[in-house]
Amino acid sequence: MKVARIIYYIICGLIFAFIAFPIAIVFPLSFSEVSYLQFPPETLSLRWFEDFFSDPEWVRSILLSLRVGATTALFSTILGVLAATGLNRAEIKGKEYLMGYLISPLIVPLVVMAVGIYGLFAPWGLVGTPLGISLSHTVRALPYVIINVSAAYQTLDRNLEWAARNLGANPLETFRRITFPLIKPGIIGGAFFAFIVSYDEIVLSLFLSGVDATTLPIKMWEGIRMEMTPIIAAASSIIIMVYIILFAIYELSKIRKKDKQVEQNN
Amino acid sequence: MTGNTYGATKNKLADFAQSLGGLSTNKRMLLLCLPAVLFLLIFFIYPLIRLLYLSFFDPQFTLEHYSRVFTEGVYLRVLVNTLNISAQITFFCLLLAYPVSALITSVGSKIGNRLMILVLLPFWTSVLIRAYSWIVILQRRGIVNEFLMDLGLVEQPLSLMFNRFGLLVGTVHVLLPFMIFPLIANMSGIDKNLLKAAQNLGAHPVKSFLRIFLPLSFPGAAAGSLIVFVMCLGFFVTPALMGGRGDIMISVLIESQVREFLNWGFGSALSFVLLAITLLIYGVAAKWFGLSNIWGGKQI
Repeated sequence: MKVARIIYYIICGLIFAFIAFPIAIVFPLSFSEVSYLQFPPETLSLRWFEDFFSDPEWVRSILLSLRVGATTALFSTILGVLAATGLNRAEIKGKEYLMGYLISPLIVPLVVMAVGIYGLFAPWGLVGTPLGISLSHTVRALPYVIINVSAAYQTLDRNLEWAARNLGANPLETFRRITFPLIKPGIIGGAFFAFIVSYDEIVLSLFLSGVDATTLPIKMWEGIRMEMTPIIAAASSIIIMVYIILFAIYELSKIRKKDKQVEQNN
Repeated sequence: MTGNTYGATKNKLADFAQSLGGLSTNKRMLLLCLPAVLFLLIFFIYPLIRLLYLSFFDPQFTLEHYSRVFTEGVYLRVLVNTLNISAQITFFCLLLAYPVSALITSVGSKIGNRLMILVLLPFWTSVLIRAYSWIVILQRRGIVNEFLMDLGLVEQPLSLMFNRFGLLVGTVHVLLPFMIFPLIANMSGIDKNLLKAAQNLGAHPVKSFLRIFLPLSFPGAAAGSLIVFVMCLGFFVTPALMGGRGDIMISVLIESQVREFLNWGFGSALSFVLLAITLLIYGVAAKWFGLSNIWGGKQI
């Protein structure tokens, strides 16, 4: 029986290696010195990062991705917070159908959605524009904001709102002083999620990007198809670093909030 | 002057609030959903309706586009291929996800959480980066071939890319977490005392696994399989980058028909076939497991 157990652990170890290996090689690869793919790299250099940041096309693409991501986060957070508030406060029959409608963009295959939006935007002149790309990303990101904010609403204790109202606060004041601070983590989480959905997105961007509007994933897509140099590994590392920075900011803001609470308690 | 305008705006707002006051609280709250509802109507529903129209009326009413999908050998093969590949990927995902999910749920939460990070890290990494990585690993002069040739196991580099093998490896890697999550959700609910009881009563561990654990984990496996299968049907990125030229999936065909050949009628018909199959499977899944279980995770 012991032998069987060891074999089982070895099999699991191999599967975990399969899961983690592709991520593990990206960072070392981006520090390689030679132009062909060599793993593990024999000499380390920052050459590909220099190439990345000295090529105006790559720099433009990462700036565009950040901009489109921020726009998408803004659009979907505004629409999503309003909708989630309505969904969670209205007592009507068939609410689950409304929720189903609002999150239905998640089940439609991205290619189908992209073809549809591409056909709509082409005559409007929105193809190849940052606005067009942001609008299409918002369709995909909106459901995540609604799901996140709704989850925050569900854990909210409504007695706090009633108490505020009883003490004489009007509905708007109650929202601003009581409800909003309590659902804020859900809103921030949703906004982060929306940003990442956009920042990562390839299929919609592939249809909607143009000569003047190429996001970072699309630039990488073209790079993978044309020439496989470690500059793509460098771009991948930069993408991952942006994630890490975002998560660090997110976590730090949580820690700061806790510190504040501790201070107030003291 | 500015003060006056401000006052007027404030009055107007107050009037507006008053008129809203005529509505019940419920209706006012529902109004908050309106912007999102309209946004999706314009940028999501309308484009799909437009596609449906194009698939029948390009240029005038015709069923030709749909009949091409189902009768022309090349396209029918793509459809069958897509279903076939999705089934294979679902099988391999289940094969790989089952043992690790069982391990994660049986080692206690401390080690389990660490192992979960191993699963989540790639899950949060861009699909594109992972495809790139796999290309580096599997290409002709890639890591695997160099390794095998250094060991002298093969004389010529194996072709591991731009064929079914590369497609399966890359796609299984992307979809594996979607199998692992429902399996873990299910397996962590299985009472491990049942297994102990069976073994105390004299059942061989293999028998207690086959008779108790395996049947109880079936709902998790079924939910995971449905999600993976349906996501695979419409999956584009990895098949486009790692698949073979003669082995393409429907999403790749749609992209080339619309973007390269501007073949809107046919591209729309293909899109609707894909959409119909997808919705059908989601419908079945919703009936079996409830919608919230399906929409829980991140989609790609």
